[in-house]
Amino acid sequence: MNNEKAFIFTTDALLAVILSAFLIYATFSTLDRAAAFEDRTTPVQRVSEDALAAMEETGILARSLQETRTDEIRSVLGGLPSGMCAEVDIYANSSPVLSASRTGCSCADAQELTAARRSFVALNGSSQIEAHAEITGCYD
Amino acid sequence: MFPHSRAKGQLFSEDLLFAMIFVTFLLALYAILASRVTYAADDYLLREQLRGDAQDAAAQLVGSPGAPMNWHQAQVNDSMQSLGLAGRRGVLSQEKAAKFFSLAADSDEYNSTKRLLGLETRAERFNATLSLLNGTVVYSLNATPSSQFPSYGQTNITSTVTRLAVLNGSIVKLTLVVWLE
Repeated sequence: MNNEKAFIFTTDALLAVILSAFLIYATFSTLDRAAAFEDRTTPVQRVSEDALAAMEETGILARSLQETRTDEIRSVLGGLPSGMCAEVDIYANSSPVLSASRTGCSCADAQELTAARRSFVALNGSSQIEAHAEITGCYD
Repeated sequence: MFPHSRAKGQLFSEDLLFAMIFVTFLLALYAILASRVTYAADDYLLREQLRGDAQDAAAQLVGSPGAPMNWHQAQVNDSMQSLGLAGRRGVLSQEKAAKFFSLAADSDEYNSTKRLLGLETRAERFNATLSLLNGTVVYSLNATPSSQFPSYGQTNITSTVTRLAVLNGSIVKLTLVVWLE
């Protein structure tokens, strides 16, 4: 009777060892990557509300509506946190009048859109226009 | 009764040896992975807390006048509860902004400023800049990470918050950076 032992070493076993080693390596590298972190994303809702409040306070919204121009709004949108896209729409009597968006980016493919709205009054000669501005924003 | 019936022996084979090595390896791997996962979970929690602290501090600066409301006219002391730059909501007071940046730039008052912003619990450090939309800096601090961390991105955790407000009729951007070393 032959008492000698032997190992069975197949390609299946080899592949399993390689796969296990890869999974272990991937797990460790993923966990290590979480160690250093830099967050630069201020919530879109807060920044949007800030932008509308600041534009109303400085008269930009009313002036843009009165003079039908968007350069000042675009200037404010340009100062939003990097990576944030936004579009401002101004409605007078529920009809869209003006629209301006930050140049160089778009929320078309965004998974999450946030909107903020603010009502304001603008003068048109001696009459008042009731208007509201809506800002929709996202991180691209 | 047979004379050798109480004799004992040990069964020790190569199979058993390999099995023990394999089980030991699995246990060690489990222990290492479990500690790494615990560390990552703690790190995530800390990151969220830091993010919350930074958001709250920025909201406090932009949205509140501070307590007491005339804090900028007094010396920093224990009766001071919080710092805020708002004259009214969304509009910053020039005097309060100037006082805040001068206090924070003073190394003796930096920690008091940190406490009054609610940034003391996790030993965070902070930097702040108030600039116009065209990039012109109105006020700034020069607090930076210590030399072992060459940039914010290389500190353990950094959170940057940007808020917009109005100062002297112009829209300004408050950038608050909070980090852990």
